[in-house]
Amino acid sequence: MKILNRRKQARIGRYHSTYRKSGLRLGPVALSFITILIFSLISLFYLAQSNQITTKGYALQDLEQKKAKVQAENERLQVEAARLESLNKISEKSKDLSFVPMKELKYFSSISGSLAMK
Amino acid sequence: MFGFNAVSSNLRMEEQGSTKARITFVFFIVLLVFGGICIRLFQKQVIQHAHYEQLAYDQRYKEQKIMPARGEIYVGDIYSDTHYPLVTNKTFWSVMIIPQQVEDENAVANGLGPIIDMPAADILKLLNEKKVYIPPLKRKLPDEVSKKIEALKLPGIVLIPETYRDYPEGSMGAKFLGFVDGEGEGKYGIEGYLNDVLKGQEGKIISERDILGRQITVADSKVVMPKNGKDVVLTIDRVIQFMAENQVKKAVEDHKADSGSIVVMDAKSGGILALAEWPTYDPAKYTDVKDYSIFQCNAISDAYEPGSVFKLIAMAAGIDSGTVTPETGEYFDANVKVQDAVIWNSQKKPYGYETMTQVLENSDNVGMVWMIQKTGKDKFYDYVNSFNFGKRTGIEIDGESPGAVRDKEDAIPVDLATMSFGQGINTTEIQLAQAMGAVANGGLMVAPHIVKEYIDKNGKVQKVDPKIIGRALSEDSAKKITEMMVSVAERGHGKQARVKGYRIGGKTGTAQIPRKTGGYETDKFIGSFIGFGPTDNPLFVMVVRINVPKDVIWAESTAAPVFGEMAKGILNYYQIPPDEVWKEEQIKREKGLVK
Repeated sequence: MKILNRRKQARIGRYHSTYRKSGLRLGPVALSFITILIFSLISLFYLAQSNQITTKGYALQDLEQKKAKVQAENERLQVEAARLESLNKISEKSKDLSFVPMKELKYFSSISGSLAMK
Repeated sequence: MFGFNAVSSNLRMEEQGSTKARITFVFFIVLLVFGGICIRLFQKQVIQHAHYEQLAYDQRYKEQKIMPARGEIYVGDIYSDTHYPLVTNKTFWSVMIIPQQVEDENAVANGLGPIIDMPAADILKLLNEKKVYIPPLKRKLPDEVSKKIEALKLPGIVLIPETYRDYPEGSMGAKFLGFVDGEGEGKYGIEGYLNDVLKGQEGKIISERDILGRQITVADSKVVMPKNGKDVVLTIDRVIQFMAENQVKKAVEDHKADSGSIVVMDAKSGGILALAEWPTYDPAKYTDVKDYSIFQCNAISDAYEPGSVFKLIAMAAGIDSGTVTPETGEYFDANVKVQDAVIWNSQKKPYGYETMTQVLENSDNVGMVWMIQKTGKDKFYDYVNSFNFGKRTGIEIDGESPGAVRDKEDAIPVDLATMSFGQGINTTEIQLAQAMGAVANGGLMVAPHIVKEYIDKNGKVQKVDPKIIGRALSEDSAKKITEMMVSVAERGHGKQARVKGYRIGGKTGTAQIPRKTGGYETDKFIGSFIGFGPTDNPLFVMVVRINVPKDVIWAESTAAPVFGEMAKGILNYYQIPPDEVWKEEQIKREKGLVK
């Protein structure tokens, strides 16, 4: 400890001493500066985080749009598949393949034993 | 000196007083201004707080609607559990130009014009008008066209996706489906009837947006998810529907008729298996239709005087009330007088002695009048009510007509007589199918319905159960009427409706069309055939109607053959083997070996 001040007191040999801890000493200006610096750093950190989240948000929206496009393409293919399976389409195809209307349907009762292939 | 000092002192005092006054004056001015500002601030920030808060909110937050997906409509067949889409949703594109973003007007006009089939000069003219907003140049562009436009990569051209209804099976079922208009509302048919179920509920995102309108994800947002519409699976069998559409179109064209319709109903559940009409329209191009009457589903909305098909209902009343039996006989002349009216049979010749079965086989009006006079008005009306004529069936299609039945109190003897053969009473085909279903179903009447189940977007299925309305006649009477109907098909005017090897029951009806000025048209008729089969275990009930054929008059030649072709097709489709014993009997009857 460093003695800052020492003065005599009424009694001989007794002194009134004021002591100060030795070490780093910060004045009001320094404290203000440090406070401002800390707040600035915190603000910068917050801004950086917000910016990153916002950027990610835009990227997310881009991905959402891409997803919507893929879904729309999927939907288009499903509709196209349904159209190809439609009875009108099958009927047209059957004509192209030279299918003819059935004249008579014959029914066979269930046969026990083996059935000749030819 | 003393005077001078006194004057200076007075002057100083006066100056001080003047200064003080000026300061006070300025003070009050400042106070006034400050007070005014405070009052204004109070007015804006306290009294009008809510208003400015809303303005600020509207500026920062934007509400974006999320449109729900409209429910789709499916049909099936008997050979798989697959649901085939009859109506689905498809994304099409609208192309717009944003004038402020266009860099090269000529490039836009020359690039876009050929793709969307619009003259480049017209596009250039729109751009040169320097408007802030140009409405979409073309709507409902398919994907292939949108890709070509995207490939241009020209600034200022924007493609906006829009959802429209799409019909993979073309115009199949158009008359009972209806369509969706430009506002997204269902009109006519199932789209109209079930609009609230199919439409769903809009959602929204309320979020803070940046200057470009993009959502700021770190800021607050509120999302209300849309509720998508429910999908609907119909009772329609797409194979039977396909058959019916082809048959009715062929019949109308062959006979040069005005129109025609076929209703096929599951005999036990009341589920509609097919409802086909011709002419029809393309629901994807409903805006091209000029005559709006084509949007109506005639089978449920166009009530008509059914003619002789109604004899089955009148006879059911006579049989079930115990007034007559199928074997009850009498001698009948060619005509009968009721009050001031003379009622003739269609052949204008007497049939002589006929049983009630033969009255139906010959479709003898005179015999029917005799029978209904014996039955009486009260009993007859009891059966008209128990068969639900004059009331809607409740089928899930917009625009159903209840038909028209004269009030019992107003019905005079000639009305009763004419109603016995289907004149003076208006019914729809769906009502006739419902009534015939009761005969096929042992007397129990089931309500016709076209919706089989609803499926929400989570996959939860809600089935529609058959609804039994009540007992229209006893099981025994139903059997008797069935046998009489088989006799009509085998020996009477319904021969063209027969299918070899199968017991099919039915009745023809060639109805006159009332004139608006009174009486009936002399050269216009409606041919109908109603029936069901196979009669030992009924699979289907069918009503065929051909309106105003030009080449032949009688339903025997117009509606009955259509019924026969459809019945054959349905039995083959269901793979019902023929009754060989019955087939032998039919062949013998044709050769005159048996009666």
